[in-house]
Amino acid sequence: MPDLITHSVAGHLVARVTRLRHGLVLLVIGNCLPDLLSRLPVRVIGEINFRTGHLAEPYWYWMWMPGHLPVGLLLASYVLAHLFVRERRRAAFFTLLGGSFTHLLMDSFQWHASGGEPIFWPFTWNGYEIGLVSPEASLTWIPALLVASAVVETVHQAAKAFVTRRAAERRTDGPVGH
Amino acid sequence: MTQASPLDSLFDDRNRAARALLALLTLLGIMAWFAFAGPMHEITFANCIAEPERWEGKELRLSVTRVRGIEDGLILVRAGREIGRVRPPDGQLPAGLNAGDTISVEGVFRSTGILESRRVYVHEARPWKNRASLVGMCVAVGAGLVVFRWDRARGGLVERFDDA
Repeated sequence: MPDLITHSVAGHLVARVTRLRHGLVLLVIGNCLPDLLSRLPVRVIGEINFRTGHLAEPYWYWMWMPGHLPVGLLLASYVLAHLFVRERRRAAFFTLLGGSFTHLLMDSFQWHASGGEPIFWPFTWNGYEIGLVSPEASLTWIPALLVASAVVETVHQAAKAFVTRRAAERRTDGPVGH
Repeated sequence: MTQASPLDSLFDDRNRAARALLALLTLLGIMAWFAFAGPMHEITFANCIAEPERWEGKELRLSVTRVRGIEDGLILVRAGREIGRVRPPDGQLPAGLNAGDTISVEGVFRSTGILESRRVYVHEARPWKNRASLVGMCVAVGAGLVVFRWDRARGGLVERFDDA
């Protein structure tokens, strides 16, 4: 996985570039969801075991894998979407799912000794990845991504302020009115 | 008049809790199945150690595994659990490798219970990646807490801001 700063910024950029009106934060959360559901618990369990010797059985590791697979993310997004009001529920589901799949796509560019995860489960147990960069390569992209994110957000806010001002001027028959 | 989409029934208010619960139970069922079944349980380092003669010469590849100690080879742990020992055939470990480092290994299992490494990749920047991920996680979860609020009257989460 790239780190979660990279995933979060990717979510922000995708939301702004695709002009998503609602759901920017949901897309960012969706971009982090696979790691929140799988890597985070494994890290916590690993630390507990490292310090106490408890939770050492292999199933404590493997049980979290579906949280990083399309099937698990589909179900998790569906459950989370049901926390939203009816009018926003479907959009929340697809936004979370879109963010999660963006995460998996970004992860697939990394290479792993084990040859990737079984992302097409339950159809096959074979692991697949494009495997172009090391798992830590994303750390070097963070500064550039943060700058890009700041620029895109500044342009977006400026454009929004401009459109709002124009609309207000039109309503009051101001200088740019007909 | 707009036509109802077949998807609408998956997201309307009727049986909302039951549908969410069913999806959650399905997810938990899949997690339980992954915990106790699946091919990843068949050929693991631990299984090879349990039956060393049977798995002599078996190629193993271990991703992102921590080194607990360096003592007659590398003692590896994953999710905190000791999974076995790795030793290069010539005894030469990668320079600068320390206990606590994260590595990926490709090697061949030997009936002596040792994984004879062909290639060891040291994930030197792993601690920084973990820290960056912690920051990213806090940002994502924090943004969620700021942007969403529970609307009691409508019985669900709504966005506080129009543009978020």
